[in-house]
Amino acid sequence: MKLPRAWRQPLAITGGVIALAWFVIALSAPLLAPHDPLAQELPRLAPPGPGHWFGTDQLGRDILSRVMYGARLSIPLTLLLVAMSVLVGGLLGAISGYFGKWVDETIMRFADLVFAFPTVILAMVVAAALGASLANAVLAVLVVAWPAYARVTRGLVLGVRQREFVLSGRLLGFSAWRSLRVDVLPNVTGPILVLATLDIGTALLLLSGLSFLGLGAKPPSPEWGAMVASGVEVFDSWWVAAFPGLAILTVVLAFNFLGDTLRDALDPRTARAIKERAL
Amino acid sequence: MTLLSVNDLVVEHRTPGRPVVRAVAGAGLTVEAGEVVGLVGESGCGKSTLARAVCGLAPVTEGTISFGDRTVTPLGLRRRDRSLAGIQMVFQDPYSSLNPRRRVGAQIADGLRAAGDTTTTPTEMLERVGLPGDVAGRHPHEFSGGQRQRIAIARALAARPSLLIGDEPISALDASAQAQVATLMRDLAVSAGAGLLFISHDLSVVRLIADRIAVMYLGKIVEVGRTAEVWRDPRHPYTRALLGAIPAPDGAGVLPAELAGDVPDPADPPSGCRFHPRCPVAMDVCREREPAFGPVACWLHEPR
Repeated sequence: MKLPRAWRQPLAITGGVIALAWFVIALSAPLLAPHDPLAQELPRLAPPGPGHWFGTDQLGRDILSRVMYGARLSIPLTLLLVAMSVLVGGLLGAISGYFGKWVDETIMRFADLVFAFPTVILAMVVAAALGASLANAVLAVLVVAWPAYARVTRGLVLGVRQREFVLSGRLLGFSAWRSLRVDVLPNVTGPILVLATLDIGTALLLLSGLSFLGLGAKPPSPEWGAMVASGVEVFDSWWVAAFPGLAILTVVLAFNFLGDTLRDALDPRTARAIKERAL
Repeated sequence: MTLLSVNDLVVEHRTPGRPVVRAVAGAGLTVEAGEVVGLVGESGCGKSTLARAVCGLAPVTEGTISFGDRTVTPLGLRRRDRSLAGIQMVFQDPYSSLNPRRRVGAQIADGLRAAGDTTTTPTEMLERVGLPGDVAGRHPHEFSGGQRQRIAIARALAARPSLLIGDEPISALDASAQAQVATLMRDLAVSAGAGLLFISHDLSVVRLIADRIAVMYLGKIVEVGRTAEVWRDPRHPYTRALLGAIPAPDGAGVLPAELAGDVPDPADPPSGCRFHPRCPVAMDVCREREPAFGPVACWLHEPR
């Protein structure tokens, strides 16, 4: 199997390998995990060592197993959340920027409304209003996350829509939707994708934060953010918070690398530079 | 019937908190089928705005633009009226006139689709503008400015326009490519029986390709005439100044005469004739009354 050139870069491969590893772990957690992630049967707050490589938490649960099972919750939910934010925010922003006038005013005032509140507080309010569950936490974060994409997309669309190739398309009889789809959107996706990959970390943390507050994942379920938060209570036992934190870090890094590569691959102008750097 | 007729066109740019700018202040112009009209003037005189208005890309404040038996309506969010697809434009900047994300063949195919042309291929259009046909699968960044402008011309011509507009299509090109692209536009438009409105500030190129020349100054057409006549006997003082500013490659070392001053602010035009503050032969009447006649809008050449 031969990878396309754009993906044959050191960072792309690193990101791909880490992401792939996490997907494998998430899929086969029941086979890989040495212990039951919920069983409280080991010595409490045991430091990392043979038998439990990542140590145990204050309830005597094996942290390695919990981190592995956590991948099944945190990764898919975060990806789903960011994808939904990009779709909702990107579409609203593109419509806003392209059609302008009252459409723009209406959508952007809604975005301002959301921006007016602190992100975490608003997400809390929405999550609390919907009822505590992981699905509602995702919805709550979506509500606070879409305006950033709408803003960025709108700005980019405003810049592109007056470009001469867009006008040429309109002169050739493109409808507004065709113009938006063919001429405008493909020329704004790069920065939005980069924003989305950078946002994966924030979204992961926000979801975890809601879980910690009891508005997302219910306590026994091994959610990374909730695990970090509970680790803060036992600061002397560094391993309780450090390993789920490292898990978040590696996921965020991997998606940043993948996002950068994706941007390069999507941009025909960088195609030549990629050919030169390809392994 | 006249292909394009622009009558007393006024285009105003409105920005909140700023005075209204009359970019085009009562300009009239006609283009016949198969005719090449060169529109010349300094930067900021309203040439491009006039061209955009003809395409429906600038709002018309007053006056009318007729295309055949149709009136040109501004292009809003709706799909452009099919009967207006006969007006196509080649823009100034070859680096932003092609979509960087799409193969050039696909962009030319858009033009063919607009004309309902199912027999011509993008390859044939590329060959018609002097590019090898096998480059249709490439992206715009793989071409030079001149080549891109040829592709833009191919796309515009693929829509089978009866009026082609070039909005300074050669000003961003290398000197070596300018004359080539300009004559290519002329030849292709004329052989298709279309009219060509060619906008430029480069008089020597306009002289090469235009049948008639219209000279624009601060939103108005100040002189219109056959190219050879205007060249031999420029009558408006502004036209004389423009022609005098062309460097003569005769080796005599005569420096071109420079026209003093700058184009006045179109938001605050001078009284009377708009050219009088810079005119070497201004008279009292020039300061008071506007010469609202043609073909030479100058009190020295008032028709009797």
